[in-house]
Amino acid sequence: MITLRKILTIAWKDVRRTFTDRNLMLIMLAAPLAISTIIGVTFGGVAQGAAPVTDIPVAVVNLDEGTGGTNYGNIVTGILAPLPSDETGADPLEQTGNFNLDALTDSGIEAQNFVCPQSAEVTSGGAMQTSDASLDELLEGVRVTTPEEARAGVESGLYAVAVIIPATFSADVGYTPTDQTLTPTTIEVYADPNKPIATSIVRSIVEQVAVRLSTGNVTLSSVLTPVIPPANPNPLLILSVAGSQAFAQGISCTFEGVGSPILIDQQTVEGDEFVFNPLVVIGSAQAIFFALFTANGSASGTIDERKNGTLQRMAITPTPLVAILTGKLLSTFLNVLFQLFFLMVALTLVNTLIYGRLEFIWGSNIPLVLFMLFTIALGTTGLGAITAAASRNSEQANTFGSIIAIFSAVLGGAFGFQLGGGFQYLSVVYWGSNAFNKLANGNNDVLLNALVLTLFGAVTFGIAFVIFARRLKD
Amino acid sequence: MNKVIAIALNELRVQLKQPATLVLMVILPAALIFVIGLANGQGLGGKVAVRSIRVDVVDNDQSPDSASLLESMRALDSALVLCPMDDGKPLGDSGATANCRYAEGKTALVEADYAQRLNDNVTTAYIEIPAGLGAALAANQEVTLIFRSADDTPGDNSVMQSVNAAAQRLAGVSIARRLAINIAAETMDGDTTYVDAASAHAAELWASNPIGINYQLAPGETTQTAPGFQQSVPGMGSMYVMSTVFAGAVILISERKTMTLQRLATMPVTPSQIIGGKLLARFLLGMLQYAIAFSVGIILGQLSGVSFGNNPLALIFVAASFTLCMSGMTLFFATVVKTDEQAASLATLLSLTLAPIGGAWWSLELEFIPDFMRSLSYISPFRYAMDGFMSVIRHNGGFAEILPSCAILIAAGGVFFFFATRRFKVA
Repeated sequence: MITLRKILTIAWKDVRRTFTDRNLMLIMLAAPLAISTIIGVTFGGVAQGAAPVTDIPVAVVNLDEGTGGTNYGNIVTGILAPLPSDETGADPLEQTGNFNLDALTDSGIEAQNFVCPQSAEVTSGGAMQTSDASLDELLEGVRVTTPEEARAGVESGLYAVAVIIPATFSADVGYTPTDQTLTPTTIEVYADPNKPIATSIVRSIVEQVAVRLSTGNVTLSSVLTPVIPPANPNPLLILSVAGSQAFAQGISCTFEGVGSPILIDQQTVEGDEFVFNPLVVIGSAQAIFFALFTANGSASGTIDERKNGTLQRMAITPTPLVAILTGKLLSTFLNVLFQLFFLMVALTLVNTLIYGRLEFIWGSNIPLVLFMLFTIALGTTGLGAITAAASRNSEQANTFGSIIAIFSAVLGGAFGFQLGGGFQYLSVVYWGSNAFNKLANGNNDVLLNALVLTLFGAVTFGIAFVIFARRLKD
Repeated sequence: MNKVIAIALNELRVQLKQPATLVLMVILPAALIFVIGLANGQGLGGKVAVRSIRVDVVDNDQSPDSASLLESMRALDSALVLCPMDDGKPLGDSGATANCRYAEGKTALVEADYAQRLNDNVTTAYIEIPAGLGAALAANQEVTLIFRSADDTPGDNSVMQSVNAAAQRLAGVSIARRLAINIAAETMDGDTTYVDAASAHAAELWASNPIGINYQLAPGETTQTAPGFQQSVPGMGSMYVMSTVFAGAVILISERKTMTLQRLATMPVTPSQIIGGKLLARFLLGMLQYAIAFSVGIILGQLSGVSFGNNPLALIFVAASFTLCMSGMTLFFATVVKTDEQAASLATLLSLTLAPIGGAWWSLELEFIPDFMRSLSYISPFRYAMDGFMSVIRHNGGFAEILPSCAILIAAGGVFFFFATRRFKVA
């Protein structure tokens, strides 16, 4: 009992000395926390599943002169760069069917408002898809007068993309009774080569709008051209077709992109969802990486104490050598355990500051998280202790310790990249951060991680103890 | 001057004799250059990794229509890698190869594997084309594609947009035919001649691609290709230069504590000669560190086809400017910290934070880097060093391009040196 108290006293003295040393705190806590925060802030936008870029500056030049009362250029412009009064949430393309009906008949036939069928579970092919972010959040559209101004804006970095709609756009793509020909036309997308993600998003939106306008007008032309031959139009048949319910509803829905026979059933995979949070993935790996330095430094302190004669002086007190050594190694373990614990709490707070919501990022199974913390501390301490024990002096221990820590970090993914090929299994950083990632994602299957870390820690700790004991006896 | 050189050479001899120097100046930087290069997109096969979006595709139809659907998707987004069709094929014009990242030896996947690949973020989406797609379109019947993604997967909606647009193109003729059938049924007693004429007209119009996208890239070099070793060699090299030079502060304080500096001061040398010699040694060690980093880079570059520009003199000038700046900072640093332990801790903390902030770990030109991180980078000397290195390495710049960055580094070093010499006391 007395021996146990002595062990705890020795251990507690070392722990207190470590955690009251401001210089050590800089390395043990501030450095990993700072690195994790920088990584979290830098890559947080990509990691949170939102569009990787938002507020894309887009210049829209609408040169379209329109035709027969319809201006498709205005519709494209309204989508990419809505005026404040346009931001009603309505899809501008929904109105295109009516435009065409009015222009087509010019005979008082009223277009009827139909609701296009759309299953709640099945997304019809062609329905406007944008992103998790709404178009408002995605695009920062600006209406620009001339193509030259828009292109110059892209070249100067003011805009990511310029969308230029030609003067004959409506005339080319639009179908009217007086101009039944559809002439292939193009929308120019002029992009900054250094903004591929933004460009890809804008191009995709323009492409989708273009496909829907094409579908509407091609369909319109296809169903009317056979009854309006230029040489011999049949007014009765025209009125009959254009006034039919099938025509009115079909055309309207076609412009809305809902009439496609190809439906897309959008599903979400079942199973464990993997959410990438850099503060969990990189933060936990960095915490273990720096814990390896702590373990090594703390264990090699025993070598320094022997060199300085402190240990010898302790040995002449009525304290067994085993108790002294156990106390020293226990303090190493506790230093690492407390360091990891503080870092986990601090990373949670950093996450709260970055993302503005208080959430425990390590998962909901707190007892298992604490148990894993214990096993990781054991594995890390074991590696640090055996490195120190195998070294001749503290300088050598620091050198070997640095090499082992950095290679463990590299193999374990602390720098955001894993070499793979099975090499990662050699690293305590991998086993520890992998367990934390699983727990953070609600996967409690960390038995293997715990076993590996515990066995590894126990064996290396034991060997280090024996080597240190032999040295101290000498 | 001879005395300064003598002190510097002695310092160098002592430093280079230590076994730990080999580890700290060669082994660890080399390892990090390699790994950070890979993390920055350097391919092991010598190619630089390019942006790609992997999508698992199960084509149960294997018809010209399903092939046309997939081809449309590729045309809509060149970053799409349709697996397994595109596995091992060239990825755009990048020279890189598409990689579907199948587990070793596992080519026949089942439903659970596809779900796992989505959950593990190996793929962004999964698309299943049903058998009978082509036949259904020909018969004007509805057919359903399955599009699956994991929640919160970045980029899945951009894939969905491509699928939508491709499906709409493919279905264009069917849409017109379906409407013609409905109109014929309502107004023409189901006249098939009308339906056939409408379908033929739709096919003709779709074949002409009614609205194309004329996609043009603005002139100028792109900075968005993965930099790989071009990023990690100067980045890690600079970080280790800072560590190496900053160690001088620890040594200065330690030598003052052990009275070595004071003893040196009793010799016929002036304090400025002592400090000059110590700083010269650190400057030379810094340049040696850069030489080691770029030597490692050249070896890796030979193996992977990576070049470091055509202007080695400009590279040396950037390296010298950064090392000078670090030398000035080191001396100033030695005047503000009290103990060698404090100096060592702060040096580690500063190098590990200023390096990523200044763009030594990853390129600040990446599109998704937040603007305020780019603004913040200007507080770090790494920013100016990396700007200079990147001008030479990636944009074939010369002295004119690197001069602003180097001037800032040299000026900053001068300011630090000015204040440090006023504060520093040998005793």
